[in-house]
Amino acid sequence: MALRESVGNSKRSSTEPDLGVVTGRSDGDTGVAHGALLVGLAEAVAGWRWEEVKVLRQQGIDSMGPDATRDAILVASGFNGITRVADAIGIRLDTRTANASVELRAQVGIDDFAPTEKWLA
Amino acid sequence: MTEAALPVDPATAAAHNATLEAVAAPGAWWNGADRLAIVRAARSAPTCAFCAERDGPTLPISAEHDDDGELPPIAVEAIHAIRNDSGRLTRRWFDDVIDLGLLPEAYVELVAVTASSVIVDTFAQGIGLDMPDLPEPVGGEPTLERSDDLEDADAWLPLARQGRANILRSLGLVPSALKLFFGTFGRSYYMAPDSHFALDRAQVELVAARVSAVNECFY
Repeated sequence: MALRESVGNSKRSSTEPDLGVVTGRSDGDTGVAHGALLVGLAEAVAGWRWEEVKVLRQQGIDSMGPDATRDAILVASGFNGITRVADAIGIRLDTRTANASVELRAQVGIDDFAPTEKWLA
Repeated sequence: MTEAALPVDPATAAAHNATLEAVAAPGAWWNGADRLAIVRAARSAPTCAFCAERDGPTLPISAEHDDDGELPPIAVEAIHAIRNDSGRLTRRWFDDVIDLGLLPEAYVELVAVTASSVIVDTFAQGIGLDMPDLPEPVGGEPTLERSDDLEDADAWLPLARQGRANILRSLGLVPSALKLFFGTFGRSYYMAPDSHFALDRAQVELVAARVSAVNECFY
């Protein structure tokens, strides 16, 4: 995994994430500072792959600093929980979000996560 | 796993400790011992042999999970499915769980306790610590609290009437469950005006979005 060489998290992101990277359809750092490392760390934390997390955590400390690495794990942990709430209650997308994201969701494949049987009684 | 653990900021440590203390106390539909048993069941789910072999696009209900008998089998089914297979949960699975005897209110609280424990345990292990020890259970009976300020939002359960987004209303059937979960989650995202991360906004959103995609979460 090629990582940016920088000290601390001083390098800031200049663009919105490449959504292909978000959904795993493409690789890269997404234009987000330390993006490849953050994606790898997010995947490893979400998958509870602790040996991989240990390696990436050290890479994060070396490149982003300990606070940024800890916060990345904190965000990943939170979303590991909240996705379970969303899926376990069977909530729908908020109307405004749904209306505004029809093309985007189809384009990046998020609709694949909502098969018809998800809400079929 | 304790070498080279990252330092925890005091606010996160306080929030996660408060979660475990709250879980150990009686809830609305489960007592403290039951709620701690829910956490233990969530912790044991990753090594459940039945879950490891349960494949296919949807989840058949089963009582064959690795289980120490602390909870009703249908509760263990729900906890393991939420912990291990949340992307495959369907309305039909949910209806079966309810038909087999889990009250909707008890289910909501079980979801909140399970998901809260996922956050606390994932964070601890992620920064290089062991999962935290659980407190002793606090005696007392469940309050049987249930909100009536609800509306049908086409989810599997009615949502709280008030709230900016469906996720914030999702556990509204049992207000204490909603409070428990978002008290835990709150440190992980921009839930308060003073939320601050050592990451910029795009980095936070990238991590959040990638975890959601890995978990195949539509929302």
